[in-house]
Amino acid sequence: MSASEFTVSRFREFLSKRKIMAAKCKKCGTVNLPPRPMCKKCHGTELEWVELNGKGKLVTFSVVYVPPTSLVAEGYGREKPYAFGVVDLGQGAKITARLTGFDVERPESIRLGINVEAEFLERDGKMILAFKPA
Amino acid sequence: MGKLARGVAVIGAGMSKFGAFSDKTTRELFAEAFIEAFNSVDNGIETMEIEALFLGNFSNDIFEGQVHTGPLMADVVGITPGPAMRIEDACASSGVALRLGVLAVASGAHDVVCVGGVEKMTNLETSRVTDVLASAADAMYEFPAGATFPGLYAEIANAHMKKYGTKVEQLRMVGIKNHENGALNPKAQFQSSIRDIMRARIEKAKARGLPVPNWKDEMEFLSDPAANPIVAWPLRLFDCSPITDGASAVILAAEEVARKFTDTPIYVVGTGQGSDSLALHDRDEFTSLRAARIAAKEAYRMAGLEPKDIQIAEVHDCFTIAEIVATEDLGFFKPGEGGKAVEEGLTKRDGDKPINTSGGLKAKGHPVGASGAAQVVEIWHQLRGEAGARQVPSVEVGLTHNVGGSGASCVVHIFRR
Repeated sequence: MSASEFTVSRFREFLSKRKIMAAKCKKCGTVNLPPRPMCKKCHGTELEWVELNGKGKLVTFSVVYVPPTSLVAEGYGREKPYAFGVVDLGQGAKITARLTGFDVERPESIRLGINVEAEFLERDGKMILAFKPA
Repeated sequence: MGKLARGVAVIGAGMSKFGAFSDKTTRELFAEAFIEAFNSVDNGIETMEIEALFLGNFSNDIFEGQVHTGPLMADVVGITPGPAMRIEDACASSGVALRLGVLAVASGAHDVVCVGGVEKMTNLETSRVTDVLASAADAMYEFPAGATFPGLYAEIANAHMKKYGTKVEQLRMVGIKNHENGALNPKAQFQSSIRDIMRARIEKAKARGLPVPNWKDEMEFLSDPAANPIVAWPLRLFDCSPITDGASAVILAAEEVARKFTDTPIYVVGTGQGSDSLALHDRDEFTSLRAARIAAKEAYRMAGLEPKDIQIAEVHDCFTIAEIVATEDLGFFKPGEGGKAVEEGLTKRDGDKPINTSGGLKAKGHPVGASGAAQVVEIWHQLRGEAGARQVPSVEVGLTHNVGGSGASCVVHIFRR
């Protein structure tokens, strides 16, 4: 078994170029997102990078009013809540991401299952994956 | 899957007062719990008879800048030079410590051990505590997206509501019930019902000459954003367990020596543990914790019992939705029916399946690394008929369910008088 290139840092490098890359298993075809060194389904180590088109469905979410320090630094808090959630990008590939363009003042209006598309937010020189209503 | 090579019993149990104590460090907190456990051994015990310490602790690294807490606590309570170790599995740390202690005694390696937990959380401001707790989730992918612990359980709540029609009112009923129980527990952080809290707010407003709120009952109080602000939609303040300082300690003995220490040992008849991905996005389902189902299945199998045989349970209600999911994962109610069960009062002290008579994490408090063993303290009192005002009549079989993170760890134990 060789050292894997399907690392967190490679994923982040791709993300900085506005690409969502997953590790597809050559054996069973599972799309591993986030990438991982062993296929989550068959545990195989023969993987290849595939780019996802960024279109998905909102699986679940929350609107956060009590943020961690990193988001307090971005200006979020009780007066300015933010949304995050899990997005299903198809083929079993799911990821947690920031949500933008939703009415966070009316979280009850946010519907699970709606179509979303990827957006890339630059924060302090880092790229953060986000999704907005499609 | 196995069975215990020999019987193991709880012969003593204790906990510190839970709350916010600016004048106490982990040392004093753990000593308080240990001394109570030590003194609870009916026929007495010597410190030299306790051979090892399995200590649950989540994040003293950050909270107090002190690690190596296993031997530190063993030294404080005078049980060195035997083995002493810290076990970390997020909020399941001391439930896992309990399991390791049980396995160590069952294996024959030790006859008598102490298991427990400690956490000192109130040194940090809330946003920093939020950071520390979030480190029990996926720090590479969930945290950068903005996930917080309330946020992760909010994701579970939203998925549960969508799939089963669970209502926010049912979540609030969990909090109301657990506060009613906590009001009867002198060790609880919040020894007051939500109705009492509501009345106190009304009196305070009157005394200060401020506009007097006209909440007609606790459900109205909990629906008022001013009284019960959103933490992570749909979870509000009273859906969340608090930030707590506290410690717990349980003394275990091999069955063959247990009767030397007490005529009323509480036997550990089942233990089970499961694991899962840290990140919710790596799971197939969000409305049930697979690790909990696995842990429960193994504990029931080992005990030769079924969910209907459990007379009382302490479950991991870090958030109100977590209690509803727990009662489904443990098989007490069918998937999707946990909310309805709360609404029907089935989980109250006088219901068919009393849940969290201690007040649960919600009202008793949740000093993360201490919570799993503190659940055992309640079951110990209840099965011995020593739970005072919150005693459930004639219970002989009890269960504890302790979850780490958003369900990446779960450990279940079954106890029998």
